[in-house]
Amino acid sequence: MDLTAVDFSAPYLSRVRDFECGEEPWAVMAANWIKQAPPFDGALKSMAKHGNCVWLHFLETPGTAEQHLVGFSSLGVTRWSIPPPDGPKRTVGFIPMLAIASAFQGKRIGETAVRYSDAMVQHVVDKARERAYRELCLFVDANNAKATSLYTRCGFVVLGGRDHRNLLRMLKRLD
Amino acid sequence: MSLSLEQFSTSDYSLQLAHKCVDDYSGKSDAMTKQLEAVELQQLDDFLRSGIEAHNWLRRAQEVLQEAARAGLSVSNDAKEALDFLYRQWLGPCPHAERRIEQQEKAGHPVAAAEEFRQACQNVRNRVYAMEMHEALEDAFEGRMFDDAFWTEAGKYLS
Repeated sequence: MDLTAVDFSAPYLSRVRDFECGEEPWAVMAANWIKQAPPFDGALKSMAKHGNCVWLHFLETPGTAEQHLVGFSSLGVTRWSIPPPDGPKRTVGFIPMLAIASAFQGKRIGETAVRYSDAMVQHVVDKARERAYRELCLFVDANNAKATSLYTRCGFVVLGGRDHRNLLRMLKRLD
Repeated sequence: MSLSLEQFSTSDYSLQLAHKCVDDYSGKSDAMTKQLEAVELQQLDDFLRSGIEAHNWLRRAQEVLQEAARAGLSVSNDAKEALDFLYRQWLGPCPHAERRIEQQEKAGHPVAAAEEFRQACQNVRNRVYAMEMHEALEDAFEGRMFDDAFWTEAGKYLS
């Protein structure tokens, strides 16, 4: 079984129509993010406005036409002054959204020890390294224990505690 | 006679109906909040059904607009903003209504529309949560999400 990533674009809207990744507010929001077309807030609007990439991850069984949507990942950039507030602006990789379909959460790829979720995060990390970003950041809802655990496992650290929206900011060094 | 699709704006009608129903529901809420004594059970049930109807119209307007956008039809940003505004407006009376339901249930009076109303509340809360997360995403893209507390620790982490 192979996990393949394809670039997301408008023709794939019909392919993600039934995507679901849970019933928690953040899961409902993430599922809608990939399904919505502009002017509604979602992947396509974000790609047009911020130029970020979005990938769909499919599980394919070699020799068959079978293809299951495992989830989606994304990569954009934000710019920080390092050191703040007046240091030179630096481009920092940013993961706007990443979601794994309910059926694949906590599961491993075939006989391997690698989880689908870890493989998807690794895909984004690899893409960020290809672009020579030195850091990768993201945020998660502080109540979203599954996501926090996933990113911690993948080497991200929480910095600065919770913000006023109860969000955790996480950062990973890539060099 | 030829017809042009632009002559029909059914999405506007669904949005207008949603707007009207949310206004009616909010108006009833204001009246209820001013009552000092306990609200009659039937009156509460009518109010909840008014909220459920407004919620259903909102959902319908949202589905029409989002389906149109997915089909490549032009949906105005104003329509999307109006929908967002109406969802926030709908949520306003929720805490008060939920307290009234709880009062009735504690007094041993089941409220027929309570469960459906609670589901509607949850759906709208999810929707408003998503709006806030989209604002957070914009802040993150613009670098505004990362405050002094973050930078103090990030400075140490990156050095």
